[in-house]
Amino acid sequence: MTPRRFGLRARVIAAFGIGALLLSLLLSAVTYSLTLGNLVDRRQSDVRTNAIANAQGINEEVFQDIDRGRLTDILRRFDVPEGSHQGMLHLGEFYWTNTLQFTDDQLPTAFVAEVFEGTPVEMTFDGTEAVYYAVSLPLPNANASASYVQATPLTDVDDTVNGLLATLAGASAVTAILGLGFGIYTATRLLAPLGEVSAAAEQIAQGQLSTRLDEGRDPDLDRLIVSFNGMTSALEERIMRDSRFASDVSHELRSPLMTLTGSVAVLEKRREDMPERAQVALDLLSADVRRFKVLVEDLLEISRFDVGAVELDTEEVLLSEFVRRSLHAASGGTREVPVIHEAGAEDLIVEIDKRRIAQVIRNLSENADKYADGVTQARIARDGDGVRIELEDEGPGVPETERELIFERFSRGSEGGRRGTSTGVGLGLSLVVEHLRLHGGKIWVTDRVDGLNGARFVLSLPDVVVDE
Amino acid sequence: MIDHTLGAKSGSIGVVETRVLTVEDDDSIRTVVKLALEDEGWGVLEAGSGEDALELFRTEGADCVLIDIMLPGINGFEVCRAIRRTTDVPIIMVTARSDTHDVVAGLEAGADDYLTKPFEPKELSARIRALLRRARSQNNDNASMSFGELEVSPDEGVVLLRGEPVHLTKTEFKLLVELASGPSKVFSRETLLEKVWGYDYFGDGRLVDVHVRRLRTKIEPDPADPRYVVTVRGLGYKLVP
Repeated sequence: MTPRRFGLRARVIAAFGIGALLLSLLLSAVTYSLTLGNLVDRRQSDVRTNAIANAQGINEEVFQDIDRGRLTDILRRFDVPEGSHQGMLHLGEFYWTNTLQFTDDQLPTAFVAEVFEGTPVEMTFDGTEAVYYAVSLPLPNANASASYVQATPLTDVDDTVNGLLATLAGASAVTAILGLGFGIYTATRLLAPLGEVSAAAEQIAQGQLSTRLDEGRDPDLDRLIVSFNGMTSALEERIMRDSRFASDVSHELRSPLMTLTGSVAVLEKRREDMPERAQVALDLLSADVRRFKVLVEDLLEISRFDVGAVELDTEEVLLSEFVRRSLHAASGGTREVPVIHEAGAEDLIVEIDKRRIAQVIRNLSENADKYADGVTQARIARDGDGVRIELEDEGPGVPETERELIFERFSRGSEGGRRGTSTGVGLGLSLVVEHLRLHGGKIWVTDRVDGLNGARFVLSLPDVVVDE
Repeated sequence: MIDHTLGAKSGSIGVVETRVLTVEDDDSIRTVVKLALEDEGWGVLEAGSGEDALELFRTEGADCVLIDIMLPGINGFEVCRAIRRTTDVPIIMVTARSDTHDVVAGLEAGADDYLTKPFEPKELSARIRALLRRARSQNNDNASMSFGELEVSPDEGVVLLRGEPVHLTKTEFKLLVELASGPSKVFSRETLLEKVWGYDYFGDGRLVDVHVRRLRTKIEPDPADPRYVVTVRGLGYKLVP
C-alpha cells in the first residue's frame, strides 16, 4: 500500500466539506434554472396577456386613415408594465410614445421584418440596457399593414434572479462550512477510539503492561478493542513469564548456593591442614562461589525490576555521611575516599532508599576497582531540589562510543576482562541504572572536568533534598 | 581458627554449651549449617520440619532458634509465633528473599533478626552472638528509671506499667533500655541498630521500626498515638519522660 499524503482525519473532513459544497451547488443550480425559467415564463405570459389586451383595445379605437397624432394619444391611454415602450407600425413607419428612450433601431431586424410582414410575433432579446421581451400584434382596423409593438424590459426578473443567485451562493457556502464542521465532528468522533488505542499502546510501551481498553461500548469497535486487549494480555503474560523465570531460577539457585557457601566456609576453616594443591583448588572454588552469589543476587534484583515488583523504601540520611560510608564499605572497609562538597551541599539531608543507593555506589566503586584503581574522589553538589553525586577515578576513562553501552546488561566494554579473572558479569551498572530510575534519577559518564585521565560517573537524583 | 579453638574450648571446659536449634527442611543446607555452626563453637540441634522443631524445642529447649520460613507443613512464621508464645528466646528468620513482605512478616511473627540465603556462616555466628550478648547484658548498673506510669529496671530486667510487669522479648527490652539511657534524646535507626543488634551503618532500618511497633503495642496506652516511644520524623526515635 502506498502511504497516503493526508491522514484519515484530513480526508474525512475534506470529503464532508467537498461533498456538502458539491451537493449544495448542484441543488442551487437546479433551483436557479427552475426558478429563472418559471419567473421568465410568468413574466412573459403577463406581458403577452397585457399586450394582447392592449392590441385589442387599440384596434377598436383605430380606423382607416387615422393620423399619427391620434395614434400616439390612443397608445398612451393603455396601461403597460413599468418600463415598457409602446410603438406602432403604421403605413410602413414606426411611431414610439417616447422616441428619446426607445426606437425600432433597438429591435432585432428579424423581429422588425416579422412586424412588416404583419404577423403576430414575440421575441426575447438583449437590448442595450436590459433584456427585453417584445410583442407585436397586427391592428386590422387601422390598415392592412399596421401593428402594435410593445417592448418590456425584464429588469425586475433579473433583479429577482440576481437576489436568488446571491442567496443560493450564500446557502452553498454555509452548507459547505456546515459540512466541514460535521466532517470535523465525525472525524473526531470516529477517530477518538483510535486515539485511545494509541494512548494505551504508548502506556504499554512505557512499561504499564496492565493497561487495557474498555470493551462493550460499540460493537463496531469491539473487534479492535478485543484484539488489542488480547494482544496486550499475551504480551504481558510473555514478559511476566520471562521475568518470573529469571526470578524463579535465582530463587532455586539460592539453596545450592547456601550449601556451597557453607561448605566452602567449613573447608576454609581447615585450609591450613590441606595439601597445597587442594588449597589452590579451594581458593578457586571460594572465589567463584562468591562471584556466583553476586550474580544470583544481581539477577534476582534485576528480575524484580522486570516483574515490576519493586518499591522504594526511603529514609532520610545525611548525604555526605552516607556517601562517605558507602564508599568505605564498598572498599571492604580498607579505603577512605575524599568527599568534596560544592557550596550549599555540606549538610544536605536527602530522602533515598539507602540500600539501593548504597548498592549503586558499591557497584560503581567495584567498577572503578576493576577498570581503574578505584574511586579517587567523590563530589556532592546540590541541583535544585535534587543532588548530584560524582565519582571520579584515574583510570583510562570510558571511550565515547561506549558511554551508553556500558550501562546495558551483560556488557563490559572493550576493556572488559583485562584485569585477571575477577571480572564482574556486567549486571552491576545496569542495576545502577534501574535503582536510579526507580528514584527518578539517572547516571551518565563523562571525562574528568580537570582534563586528567579518568572517568567521571555522574549520578543525578532529583527531588530528594529534605528542607528543614 | 581462633573462633574454632575458643568454641572447642568452651565446649570442653564444661561451660554450658550454647545450643542453636536449626529448623531447615533441606538436608544439605541443614547439615552444612550444623557443620559451620559447630566450627564457630555452637552446639546445634536439628529439625527438618516445623512440627519436629516445636517438639524438640519443648523437650530440649535452645538458646537461639534459626528458622527457615519456607517449610513444608506448618511454616516458619507459625513456628516463630508458637515459640514466641512461650519464650523470649532469640529467633533468627532465614528468608529466601529480602522483599519487604517476607522480612516484615517474619519480624511481626516475633523474630529478632533475619538473614537472607545464601549467608556466610560467619555472619550467622555474628548475629547469634549479638543476640545472645544482648540477652545476657542486662546487668549494667543503671538504676531503675521512671517514665510516667512506665518503670524500667535494667538491673532486674523488669518493666512495670502501672505497677504491673510487662512481658517483653529480650530485643524489645534491650531497645527500651537503650532508649531509656537517654531520655528525650533522639536515637537514629543506625545508632539503635548498632547498639541493639550490632549492625553497622547499613543495617536494615525495618528491624528497628518493627520492634518499635511491637514494643508500642505492649507499653503504649494507644499504640497509634504513642506517648512514650515517639517517632522523630527523619531522625529516629526517642523516649519521652
